[in-house]
Amino acid sequence: MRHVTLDVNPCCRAALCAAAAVHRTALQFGTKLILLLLLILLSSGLLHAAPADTAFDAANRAFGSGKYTEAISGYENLLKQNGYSASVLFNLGNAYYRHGQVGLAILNYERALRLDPRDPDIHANLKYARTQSGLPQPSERWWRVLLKSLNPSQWAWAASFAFSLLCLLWVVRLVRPEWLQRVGVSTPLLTPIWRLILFLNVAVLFLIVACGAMSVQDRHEAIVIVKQASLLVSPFDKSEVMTTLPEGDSVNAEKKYGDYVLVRYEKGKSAWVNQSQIATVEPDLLKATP
Amino acid sequence: MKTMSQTRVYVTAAACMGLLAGLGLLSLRAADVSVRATIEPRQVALGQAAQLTVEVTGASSARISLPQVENLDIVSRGTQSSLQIINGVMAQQSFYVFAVLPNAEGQYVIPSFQVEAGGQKVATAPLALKVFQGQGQAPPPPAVAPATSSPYVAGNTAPDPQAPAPAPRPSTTTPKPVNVGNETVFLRLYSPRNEMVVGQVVPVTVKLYVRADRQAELVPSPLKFLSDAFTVTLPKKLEQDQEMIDNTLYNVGIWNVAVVPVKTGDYTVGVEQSIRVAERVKMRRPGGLDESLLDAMFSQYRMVEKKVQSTTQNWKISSVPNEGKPENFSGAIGDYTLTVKAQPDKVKVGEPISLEMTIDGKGNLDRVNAPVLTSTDGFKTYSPTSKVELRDDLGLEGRKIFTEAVVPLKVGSLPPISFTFFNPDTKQYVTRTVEAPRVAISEAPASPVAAVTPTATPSATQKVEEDAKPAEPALVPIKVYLSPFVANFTPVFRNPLFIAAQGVPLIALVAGFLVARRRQRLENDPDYARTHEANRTVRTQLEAMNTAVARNDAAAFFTAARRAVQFRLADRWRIKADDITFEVISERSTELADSLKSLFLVADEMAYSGEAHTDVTLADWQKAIVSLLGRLEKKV
Repeated sequence: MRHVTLDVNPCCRAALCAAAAVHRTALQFGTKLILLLLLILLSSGLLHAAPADTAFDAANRAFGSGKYTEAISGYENLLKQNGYSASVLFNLGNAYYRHGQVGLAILNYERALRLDPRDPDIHANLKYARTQSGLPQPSERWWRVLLKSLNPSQWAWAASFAFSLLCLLWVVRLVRPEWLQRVGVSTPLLTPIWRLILFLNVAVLFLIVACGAMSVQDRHEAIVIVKQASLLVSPFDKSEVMTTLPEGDSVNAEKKYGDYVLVRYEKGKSAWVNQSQIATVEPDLLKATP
Repeated sequence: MKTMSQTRVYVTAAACMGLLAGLGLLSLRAADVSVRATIEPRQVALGQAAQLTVEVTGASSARISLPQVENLDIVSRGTQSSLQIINGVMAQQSFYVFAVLPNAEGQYVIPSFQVEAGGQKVATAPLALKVFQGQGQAPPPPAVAPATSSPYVAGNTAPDPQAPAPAPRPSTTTPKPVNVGNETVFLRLYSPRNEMVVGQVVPVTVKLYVRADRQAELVPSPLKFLSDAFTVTLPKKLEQDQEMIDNTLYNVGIWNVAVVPVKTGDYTVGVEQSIRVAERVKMRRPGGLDESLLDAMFSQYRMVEKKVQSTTQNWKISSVPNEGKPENFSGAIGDYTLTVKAQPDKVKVGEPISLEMTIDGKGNLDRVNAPVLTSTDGFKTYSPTSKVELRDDLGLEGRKIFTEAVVPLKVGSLPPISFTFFNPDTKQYVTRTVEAPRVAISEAPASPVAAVTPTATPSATQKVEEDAKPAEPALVPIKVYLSPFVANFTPVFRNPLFIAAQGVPLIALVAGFLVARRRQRLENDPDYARTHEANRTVRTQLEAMNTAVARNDAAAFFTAARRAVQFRLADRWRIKADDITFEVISERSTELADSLKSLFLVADEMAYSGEAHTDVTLADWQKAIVSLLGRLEKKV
């Protein structure tokens, strides 16, 4: 038998050993519970997967046949029955675009992007739809691009994991420091690793705060879904029109009054628009707004 | 006479010109002689004249022997000549013009006549002329007026070089006319085969013959097949022609129809068509006059509707055989070829390929389904779109183009594509299998940004979609995989449960802090350390006592018991365990000394004098010592 010896630096060795320890612990204490949870999740997933897949394929076939109205209906039903899926929203955006409803196409691309912010297909089609509609491409700073590489939920889970790991290691160090030594983390080494982990956690926590703030900002984003939205001075039918916005343009919904929504369409400029002319990227947000 | 003189003058002049030309241009070659006769118009009203023109090319003069036609007067109107020299070839043309004056209405045929020119005798083609009553403002209905709006073409025996060639017809013997009532009208059905299968498209020709000198028109009702075992596709346009049968000219209406059997069995098949035919009705006339003249003057025509039926044929219709029927046979009957194209020729896994599969040939193209991939393993396929390009109005021949999107799910190559049909001529099933075009399928990139940028090449799926929409090359195709569903867009950190869950590691951390702090505090306290050490030692000695009792080893038992008591008392009195002797105990507590005296005595004896106390019951001692240690611990 051939033995291979690898030179592993102490940090890696410590991480590997920690993982092995966690694995052993999981095997000893939580195997049955994990298996049970997996079984429940899997069975519930399978129960819903089959009809959703069938409906998805049917809508895709309708799309491929050029029956865009039928495809739109299929995708909308899927969303209604199962919730939101990035691929369904993306395909729905394509169907709306082919059907000539650019505003709704952009809306659904934006929604898909909220669920899968790193999907290049969604970025490409959103950019294409905006370009074809004569809308300017939003320019974003690098840090916003970085923050948008994960959606707020993903950032939250990442931060939660990092925080839990931090706490776990801290508790182990306090209660059973010999465990760390047993897995190869010597006391002199412990201090720099400890500081590094602490630093990373602080950074992640900072990011989640920033992401949360950004999420609050973008959460009220709305898209014009009619050919031309009239921005009014006041929330009444016969109010004077201040300006108009083209289909697919985005605004920030601030508050609702009757059938009208106060939107911020430029920095420092707000106007009222009929609720039927826009749709928020996060569905039902306006309904929840008093 | 005057006219004839003028003709001679023209002929002489033309001859002189030809002679001069021949003398002056001896080196030039003369062209061959050709003759062409035309008549315009082909239909005239009674009282008007038609113009008969005889065109003679390649000769300076000609002698024309015009035929005699009853009720037609043909009068010369003069001659025109021209001379051209093109590329050294002398071309001389002469036009002999005649007026044709009809004396009675009817369908006339000017038979072929001889033209003698340039030492040759050339015959013209027969010419037809229809004469109708009226003042010539508008022509009457055609002799055989089709139900459709196709223009009537009067029979002109001189073929028009611009006219399209007539459609090929089954080579059958032209039947003899059958009298229907008083009119000579008959119908014929021509089929290339008498045995056919259900679903097969069979071309059938139906001809309606009407004698040329009879006026007739079609009733605007479709041609009727006298059997319900077929579906029939009628032509959009009725073809017309003239045929000479036994020296009788017939106007012929031709239906080229497509027949598709729908039921099996033996059937006697015929066709029926309603037609209105002109019948002469004689009127009362004054007596003593010439009968033929009176008939012409006092007769009139009446249109009589008649149903004309063809002779019948026996057709045998069967279904396609079950024996040897391939699984993927979908009802295509005929003879076809299959070609396949694919675009693009390089894709990555997950990108669609557009397959264009063309079925070309004769048969029931409308029932042809798409060819299939012989294996769909590793591919996701979508329903194909199709379009039919027919080469005739009846759908007998053409091609059907299927466009299908195929998405590779793994690296590999496209499988062969097959198509199955039943050939009614060979009565066998035929499967055409072609190798799919080579498409290089590579792994999808880890970061597919470049493949989906808006300037990317249009994908195959897009091209499928472009049937209904103009080209939009930059839209990335739809996704074929379903991504997970989420209930809503609310970020998870807004969920109270998620927030509460973050308290778990925090609580663990706090608990860890507390535990560590307590432990540190205790470790820094000497009393705690002594008590901890005493407890540990007492537990150890108790275990040793148990072992000794089990072995009935009194020496080991009492040694362990004394040691346990020493540690317990040392912890209590905060002195070293080795300093605990019976004397020390007696000084500090007489009560305790009484209890422990016998223990220390026996232990010392066994330890130092080696005396064995075999009469001692260790179990009783153990109970007493454990009880004592318990009391001492509580007091501590």
